[in-house]
Amino acid sequence: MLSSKEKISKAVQLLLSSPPGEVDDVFNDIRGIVNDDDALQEQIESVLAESNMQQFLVVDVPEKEGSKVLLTPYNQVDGNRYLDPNTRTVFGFDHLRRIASEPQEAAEEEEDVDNERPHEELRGLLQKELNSYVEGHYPEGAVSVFSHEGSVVSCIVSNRFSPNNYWNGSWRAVWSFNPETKQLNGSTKVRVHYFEDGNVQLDTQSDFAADVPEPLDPAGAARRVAKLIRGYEAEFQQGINDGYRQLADKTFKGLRRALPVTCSKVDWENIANYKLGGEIVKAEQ
Amino acid sequence: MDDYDENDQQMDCALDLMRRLPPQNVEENLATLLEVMPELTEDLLSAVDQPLKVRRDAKEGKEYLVCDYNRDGDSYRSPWSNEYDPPLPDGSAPSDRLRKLEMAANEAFATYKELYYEGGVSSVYLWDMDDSFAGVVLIKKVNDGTVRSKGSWDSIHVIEVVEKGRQARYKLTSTVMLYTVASAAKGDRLNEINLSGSLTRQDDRELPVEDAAAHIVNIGRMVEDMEFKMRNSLQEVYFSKTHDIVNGLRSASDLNEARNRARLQRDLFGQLKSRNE
Repeated sequence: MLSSKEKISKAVQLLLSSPPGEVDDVFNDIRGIVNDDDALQEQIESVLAESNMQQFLVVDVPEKEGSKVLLTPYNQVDGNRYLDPNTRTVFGFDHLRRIASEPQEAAEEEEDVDNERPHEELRGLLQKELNSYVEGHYPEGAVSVFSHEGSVVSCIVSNRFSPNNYWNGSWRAVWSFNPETKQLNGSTKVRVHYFEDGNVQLDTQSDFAADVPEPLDPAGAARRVAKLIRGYEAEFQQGINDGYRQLADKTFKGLRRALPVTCSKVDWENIANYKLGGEIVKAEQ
Repeated sequence: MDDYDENDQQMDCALDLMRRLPPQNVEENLATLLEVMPELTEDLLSAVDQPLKVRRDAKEGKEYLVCDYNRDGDSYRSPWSNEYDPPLPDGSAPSDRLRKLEMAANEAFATYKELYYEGGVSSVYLWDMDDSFAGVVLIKKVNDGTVRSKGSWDSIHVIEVVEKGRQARYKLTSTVMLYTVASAAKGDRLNEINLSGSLTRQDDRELPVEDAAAHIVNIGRMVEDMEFKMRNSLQEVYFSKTHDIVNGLRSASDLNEARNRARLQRDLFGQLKSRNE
C-alpha cells in the first residue's frame, strides 16, 4: 500500500501524459481524484513546469508588445525564470496561473552559458530564417532559437486545439546545431487526440542527424541549417502520410473483413449450416 | 452519504482521465489508478475496458478470452468447459438454463468470428439478472504478420436483456479497441507511427422472442449491425479524421505562396473591376 504522499505523487505524474491542449482537464481530474488541494499544491507546481516546458508553451513576453517566446528547458535561466533571446528579456513565469511577469533586461551570463555569446550572430540569423519557414508551413506555429551549452537550439511548435469538436493536435520539433562539430541533430514529435465517444490517439516521432556542409560563416550556416530542417520535416510529414496509407490499406483490412467471403451478412437463423459449409469452402480454396 | 459522493466524483474523474491518457498505455494507466485509489478497485476493473487477454482451456483444447465479466477473485471461467482456472469450486456461474444458451451462443459467435475475422478468438459469457439476463460477446484478432505493420482488434459487446413475455428488450453497449502500428526503417533507425484507441457506441431494440434460440438470432444481428457501423466509424476517425488533423498542423506546400497567389488574384480582380466601370 502506498502512503498518501506517494499516491499523490503517482497521480501528479499522469499530468505529463496529457494530450495537447488538455493539461487543464487532466489537472482537474487529478484534483478530483486526490481530493486534497493542499497536499496537491505541494507537488503539482514542479510537474506543471515540466509539462509546460515539454509542450513548448508559447508565452507573450511581458512589456514587449508582439513578442512571443517558447518555454523550453533550453531557455530556462533558473527556477521559474526564462529568457527571450530576441528581446534580451528575462521574466518570471507562474506555471499554475500561466502568467509571465517581472521582465528584466537579460544579464550577460543569462544569455549564454559560455558567457561570450559567440553564436549570437548565427542564432539571430537562424531565428530569421526559421521565422520565415514556420510562417510558410505552420498555420499557427511558433519558433524560438536559443544558444544553449555551445549549441544553437531551435524549437518549433504548432498546435491546433478544437475541444468543442473533440480533438486536439500538436507538432513539436527540436533542432540542435553544434558549430564546433558541424553536426545537426533533431527530433520531431506529433500527437493527435480524438475523443468523441472514445479515445483515439496518434503518436509518432522521429530523430535525425546530419553533418552540415561548409562554408559555415554565420549567414551560410543559418541558411544551410534551415534548409536541412525544411527538408527533414517535409520528409517526416511524407513518412506519416505513407504510414497512414499502410495502416488503412493493409493493417486495418487484415484485421476484419467488411463482409464475409460470401458477400452477404450472416444468416443467423441457419448459423449451424455454416459450420458444415465451412469445411466445403475451405476444401474448394 | 459523503463517502458515496466522493467515490462518485473520483470515478467520474478516473473515467475522464482514461479518455485522455494515451490508449497505448491503458494497462499502465489503469494500474496507476488502482494504486492511487485501491478502495475503488472493483469499480474501476468493471468500468475500464482493457485489451482482452487470451487463455487456453487445456481440458477442451481451445482458447478463450478473459475480462472482468468471467473473473471471480483471481480465477477466470472458460466458456468451453465452464470451469475456473485456477480452480474455484464455488465460483459464480450461469444457471443451467442460461448455460445451455451460453454454449449455443459461443458456437454461433465462433462461426461469426470465423466469417469476419478469419482467425482470432471469441467468447460469450452470460449471467443471470433479476429480470432476465445479461452477457458479453468478446472477439479478439491480432495481426502481427509483417514487419512493417501490426495491429489488434478487440470487440467488447455488453448486452442487457429484459424479457417481456414474447418480446425482449436488448440494450447493447459496444466498445472496439483498435491498435495499429506502422514501422519504417531508416538506416539504423526504426520510425513508428502508433495510431490506437477505442470507440464506444450504443443500440437499443425491442424484438420478438419465440424461443431461447431467438435470443441468439436477435443478439447476433445487433452485434453484426453494430460492428458494421463501428468498422466504418473506425475507418473514418482513425484514417481520415486524425490524418486531416496532422495535415492541419503542418502544410506540405508553402502557405506564403498560396497567400501571394490569393493577393495577386485579388489585385487582378480589383484592376479588372475598375477598368470595366
